[in-house]
Amino acid sequence: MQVRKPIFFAFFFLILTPLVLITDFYPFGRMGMFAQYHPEKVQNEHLVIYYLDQNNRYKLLRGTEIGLGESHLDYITYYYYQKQKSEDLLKILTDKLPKYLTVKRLFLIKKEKKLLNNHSDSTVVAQWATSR
Amino acid sequence: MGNKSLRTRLLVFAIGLAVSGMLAAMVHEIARQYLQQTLPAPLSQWIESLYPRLALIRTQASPAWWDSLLQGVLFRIPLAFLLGFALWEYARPLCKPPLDPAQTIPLLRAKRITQVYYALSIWYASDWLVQLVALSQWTPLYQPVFLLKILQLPLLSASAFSWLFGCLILSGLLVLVRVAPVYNALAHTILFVILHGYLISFHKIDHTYTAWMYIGFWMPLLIFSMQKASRKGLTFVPKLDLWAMQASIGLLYAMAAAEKILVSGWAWLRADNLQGYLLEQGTALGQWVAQFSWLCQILVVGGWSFEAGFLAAILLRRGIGLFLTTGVLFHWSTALLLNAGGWFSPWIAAYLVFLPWEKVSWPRF
Repeated sequence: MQVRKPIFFAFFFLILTPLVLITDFYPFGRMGMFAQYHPEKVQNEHLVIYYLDQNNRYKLLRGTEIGLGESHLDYITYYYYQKQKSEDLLKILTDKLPKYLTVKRLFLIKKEKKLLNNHSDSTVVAQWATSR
Repeated sequence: MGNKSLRTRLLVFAIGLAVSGMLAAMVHEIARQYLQQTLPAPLSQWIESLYPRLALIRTQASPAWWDSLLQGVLFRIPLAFLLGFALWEYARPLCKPPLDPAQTIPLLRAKRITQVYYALSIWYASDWLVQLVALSQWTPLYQPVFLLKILQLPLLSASAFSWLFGCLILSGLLVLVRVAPVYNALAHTILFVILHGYLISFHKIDHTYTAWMYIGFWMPLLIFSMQKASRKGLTFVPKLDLWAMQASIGLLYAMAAAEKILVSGWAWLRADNLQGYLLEQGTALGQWVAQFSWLCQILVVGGWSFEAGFLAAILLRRGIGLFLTTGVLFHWSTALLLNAGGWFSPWIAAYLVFLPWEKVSWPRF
């Protein structure tokens, strides 16, 4: 049993580390999900990626179409948007689009919905032309 | 003897609390100087290497946000000490041989817990290969999580993922059929952590499997104790391994409850907080529930109380059944209202370490 003492100490020390250092140390997680006080906002926004195909139709790009989970693409899009590197993301996506998607141009669009009057606005944050 | 032991423990507690308080004050001062940009450059750079987003946040966040962060820093270190000390105080008797019956669990319970754990672990991981193969093409988006970063693991090819996935499933199966169970349990835990690490190395923070992995860390030790007991012809094993699994789940909930108050203050417990989340991220049912302030108030206070109280229930050995039932409802509610988790969440499955499996009728193969 004596050998378990240091294991016990190390294990619980590591579990508590993210609480003290305010960040994840995978596999030890800081349990900060939903921790922000988040009162009802006047409007909310979300980011989506659209593409313009060869027939000049705009279509929503889904994560599952390019081998990423739906939520994976959402997280990645927000990450690049917050880093103000949305164009870089569109360039990376362009290089990896499957052949059957005939994409001429990609757009990252911010959709804002005003909760009071249910009115929506869309803004093009970034765009990138493909060589197809 | 007893008084001397008590005096020593009280002294350790007092010194620990004082040291953690001083440490907190020091960290608070460093953080304050970092924000006011009066900290020496090398120290600032070291902080930014630990928290890459801080430099960006320093210029963008409001002074009020910084104030709340600094207040949080003051409480975090003493809180971690108090939680750690409480856990150690309860675990200490479990580390001391000889064991009395209260410090053991039936061998049969331990066996069944490991069987259920590895069967479920294989089931949870069963759809990972498809995701890993798809992700293997996205090298430009790969941002390794901490463990993969320090091990300098690159994004693997589809065939390498297939091999590792095969080993993960095989190691779980070998534990189930009792072939070198300790080594295979260890291999399963390591592979589970690494492959799950790859799944979340694409800018997606995900704590779905945190509790599951924590109990997985102790599984090889529990299996080792089981083998030792079997060799000696005993029908019980020491409780410490199982208790550490239970306590780690309780600690995770306690940390989640603490984070909410440390980040947002007591305002987090207001109904409009939950209403905000439900309106922005909620399901159709969640958005309907958001209309009722009184219901949101009950849900937000109830959910937080459950998280804050779970560890206390484990330490005091009171009302665990009530907390487990509430826990199932809590995780189902977050799935139904906020689309977070699911019916078969690994958080719920992790409760298997609390159940008296020796009293359950068990299929014979």
